[in-house]
Amino acid sequence: MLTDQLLVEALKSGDQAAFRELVETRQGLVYNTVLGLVQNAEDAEDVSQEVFIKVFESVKQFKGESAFTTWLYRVAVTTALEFLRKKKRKKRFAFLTSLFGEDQNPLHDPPDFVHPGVQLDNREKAKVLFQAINKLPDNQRIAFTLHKVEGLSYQEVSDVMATTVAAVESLIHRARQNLKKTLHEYYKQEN
Amino acid sequence: MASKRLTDKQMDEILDSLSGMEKAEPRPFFYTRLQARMAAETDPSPWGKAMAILSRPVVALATLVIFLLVNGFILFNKFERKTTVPEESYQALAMEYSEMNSPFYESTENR
Repeated sequence: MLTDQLLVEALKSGDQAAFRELVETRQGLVYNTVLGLVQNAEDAEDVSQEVFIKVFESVKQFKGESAFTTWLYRVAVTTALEFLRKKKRKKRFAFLTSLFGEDQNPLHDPPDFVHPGVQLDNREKAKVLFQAINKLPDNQRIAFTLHKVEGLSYQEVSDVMATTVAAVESLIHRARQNLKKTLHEYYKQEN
Repeated sequence: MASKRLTDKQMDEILDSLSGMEKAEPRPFFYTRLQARMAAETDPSPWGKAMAILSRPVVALATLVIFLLVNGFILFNKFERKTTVPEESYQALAMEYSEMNSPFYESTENR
């Protein structure tokens, strides 16, 4: 297995074998991160493919100022957020696009996404939690998802988000507060 | 969970429901599907490319608006042409009228 530095150099020279190694060794990292954000398995597959295409096309711009894995996380998070924004726009113009018959796929995801890695006895709780995570502001959502779903430390999250550890702690704290509010509201309505 | 308000313990249980979770992996043959997509994106047929552009809602809507504008313009011009009488026909009529009413006697008297 190539080191990150050698891998990047090989990728920059357009080496297909290096690209294959990159995909096969990092597909889990990219897919898991994207899935945590887009909360749909099919969308996560599409977005993950897009991430690798972007990496292939823009690896020459990678200057090594951060670790390659950090850069890869950034591309994955940015691409997932772009996808979500595009999806939101599509929902707004759903009437017009339906007139043109552009896309017959349902725009509204079923609200029962459960990450496949969640333990069996936690599935019901995780389902509700993912719905609440969906309502968080982008920054809190990224920090919370990278920490909880991808299992990154505060330091690693701060590297990906290009911010300080204190800022990440604050984001996650605020995310928890907001999640509590949303969950209280949800259970009030349920009863 | 059936209580009207969540207790702190229940809340913590929900917030911690992601701890210990395993990482998700894409379906097998991810690289093969990625390669197929990359090949399709780099070399689409010209017809497919054109259809992809035309089927975009923005392009389709813009084409419709242009079509309606051109239609409107043509119809408007046609009606306008029907209702207005050209200037030459006025002049021709005026000349003909003046010749018909030419004061024949007047002209002989003046000689």
